[in-house]
Amino acid sequence: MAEMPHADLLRGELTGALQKDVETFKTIFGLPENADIVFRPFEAGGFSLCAVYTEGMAKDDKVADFILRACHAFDAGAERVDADMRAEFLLKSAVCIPQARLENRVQELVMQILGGMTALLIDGCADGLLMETRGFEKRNVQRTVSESVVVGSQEGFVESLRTNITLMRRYVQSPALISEMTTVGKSVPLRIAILYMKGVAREETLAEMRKRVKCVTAAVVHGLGQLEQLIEDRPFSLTPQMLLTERPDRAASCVQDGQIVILADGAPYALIAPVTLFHLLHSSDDTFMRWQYGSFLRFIRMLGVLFSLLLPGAYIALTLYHPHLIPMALLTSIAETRAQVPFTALTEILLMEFSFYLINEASTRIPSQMGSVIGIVGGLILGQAAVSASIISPIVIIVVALTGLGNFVIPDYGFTVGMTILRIAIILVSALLGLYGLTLAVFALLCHLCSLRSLGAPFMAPVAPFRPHNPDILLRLPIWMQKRLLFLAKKDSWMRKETRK
Amino acid sequence: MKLQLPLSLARPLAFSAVTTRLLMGIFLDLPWLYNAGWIAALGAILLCVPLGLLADRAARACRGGGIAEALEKRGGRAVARPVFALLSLVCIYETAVTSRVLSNTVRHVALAEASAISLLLPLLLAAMLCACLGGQAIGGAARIWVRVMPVLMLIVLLLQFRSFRPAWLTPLLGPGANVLASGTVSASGWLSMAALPWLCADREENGAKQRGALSTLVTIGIFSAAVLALLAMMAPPSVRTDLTRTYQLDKLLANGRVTQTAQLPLILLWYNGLLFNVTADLFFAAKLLQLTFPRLDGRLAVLLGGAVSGAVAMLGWAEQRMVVSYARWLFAVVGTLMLALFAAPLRKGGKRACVHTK
Repeated sequence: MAEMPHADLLRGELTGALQKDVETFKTIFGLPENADIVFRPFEAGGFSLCAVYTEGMAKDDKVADFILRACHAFDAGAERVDADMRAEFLLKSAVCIPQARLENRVQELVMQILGGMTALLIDGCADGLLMETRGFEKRNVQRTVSESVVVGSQEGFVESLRTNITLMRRYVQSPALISEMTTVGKSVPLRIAILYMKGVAREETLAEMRKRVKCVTAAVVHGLGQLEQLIEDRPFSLTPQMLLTERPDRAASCVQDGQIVILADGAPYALIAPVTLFHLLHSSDDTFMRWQYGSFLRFIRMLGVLFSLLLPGAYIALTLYHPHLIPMALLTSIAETRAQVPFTALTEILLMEFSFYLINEASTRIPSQMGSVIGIVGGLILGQAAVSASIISPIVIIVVALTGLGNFVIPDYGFTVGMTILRIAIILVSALLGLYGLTLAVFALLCHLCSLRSLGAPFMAPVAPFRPHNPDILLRLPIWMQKRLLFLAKKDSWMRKETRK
Repeated sequence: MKLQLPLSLARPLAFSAVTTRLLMGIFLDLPWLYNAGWIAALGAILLCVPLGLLADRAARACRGGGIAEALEKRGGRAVARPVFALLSLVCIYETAVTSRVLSNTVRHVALAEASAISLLLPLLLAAMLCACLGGQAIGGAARIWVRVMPVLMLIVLLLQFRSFRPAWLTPLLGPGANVLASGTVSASGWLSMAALPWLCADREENGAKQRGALSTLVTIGIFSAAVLALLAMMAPPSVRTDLTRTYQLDKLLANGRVTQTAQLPLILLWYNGLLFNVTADLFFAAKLLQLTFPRLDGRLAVLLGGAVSGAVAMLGWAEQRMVVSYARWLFAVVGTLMLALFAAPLRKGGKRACVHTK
């Protein structure tokens, strides 16, 4: 397999001959074609130096004030310092950057320069100085887009890894919060941070996560969505086994429950594992509201999920194979409305479902100024007109509308799409075998869900298999009864709240 | 692939599978018990108590890993493997019986013109798929089903509430003591299958504490007896002598004297119960096959079990007449086989008998 350009140079170290080292970096960065890498040679303390940084990624002011000016101003006695000790001398006596360190590996220097840091190459010294000068443009912390809540924090993650870690630190002000920095992607590394609470997250889960991240052999990893696919337990399952959230408060809550959070550069969300099916149905509101309200909303959400998954399939099964199970008045009404419709119930449902997905997808992509158009198209053309033209019966519109609403109450977007695919499969099986098919499909789905694992933890736990847990899984019990950590956390953790007998 | 069932999931799996089997056996296959089937279910508990005690003792004595493997190590391969093989055959036959009843139900309820194979094939495929997912999957699903089932039962009870007639439970001994005793023996054969999960389970290191085989057997017996008594109060007994499964199925699903549109929860209960029964039996058949031939891949064992069950069901060897004859001996066969296995630790010195398998 072909190696990336100048791989041999990247594997090397600084030589101490400034001219040669500068040439090495120029070759690696592809100068003069590559115009945004700045090489700023200067003299200070009686020897030559060269600052290397990426325009736009590093802040010019910082480079000018705290590196160039500081170096020019330092004690001329530097001439007496041994050549190979110059970097250390500059670090201690000259540069005014709080985060700075010695570095002699070319690859590390190159990666950090691309990340916004400034490298200082020094004549006669085989060590360079790597200084924190990051100052690139980034989006400010804003309201969340896909996980809106009525009660609770409104902040969302942004695309900067540093900012996201800071957000997490703000929510979890504990020295036990550890952020391990690493990279994924063999050819173009992506910086990621693994965050967990020491002594709360299980060691074996943590080791498994580190192992999986380390085992990623992909050349490039485009964000957390791809990383999730590379490290999840069952990639062929239609259900996500990890949770993506754009809410720092939710990520913080998970970390404090013993789960592991991954943040990545360029990703305005966090990846959380291990999770259970019930986490995918939770929303941040539940935690902030009184327990009765939270429980009620969760109950509604679960009903929504059942509606979304089963309603069209049940409609097909009952109307096609078990009309005797429908009350006579309703059956007559259905028959009357369907009398003029030229399609079978299955075709009707599939047509409406397809139209619904079209509207849904279009409304996601359409510019916000044109959003009202979707409402008009969906409500008038596809609803009223289809009924007037006897293409669709009104009962099918009610079924599909309820299904759609049920789908939208699921807080996790990935899970929503998975449910849609499952729903189509259930519709087809119900059309083939009636209630028998529906039961078979639900049974197989239930078994499949119970066989899933998320980072080694059972996906349907603590219900199946049972695990002693905090009563905040299906419904929320009063806050004073919530005395345990999540069952995914380490046993006998220092954060465990319950009083031991 | 090794088929495994966590011990903590043995109870819900046994409950969801064997309850339906007991109801099916007594109500559909032994209609001549009239309305005294519930007494047969209670009597079966008494006969199965020793089996439950032994299963519990074997499970307690084994401190880690598979219970069956530990029993085999202690009792010797020469005894254990033939027992596993015979029990596997029993499970395969049970799978066939239940599959046949389920396909008959589906045909009776809705798909009257569908061929038997078109109804059996999806069922066996789904059961094989789920059995391949392992005991964690079907046991977990059973645990959820055990929590949903009471809700459906409650709906049925509320719908039927006004039409129950306790008078229909009389005469108390139904067809008489002799027939009832024979029915009790058959019922205990079906109930004894509830000890199988404890034979096929693996003890977990961090598993939650669960109640054992004896309490499960008793719960299943009492629950089934209660349901049979309720069914008996729903419709008057028929004293015809040519009562077929179809006739009884019709009686079961006709929803007593309540409007037919309220039949849905009953159908769902029946379908799901039978599905769990088929899948659990197939899983145990495959697991026991794997215990007999330890190098056999779990998926292949499931495939073999499914294929043989399908063939038995299709060939008509799982019809009522054969099942009734076989049920008379089932308790004796299963009881003897399990006794041979579970008694091994007792023979060799009680609690410390099972060695660690790790």
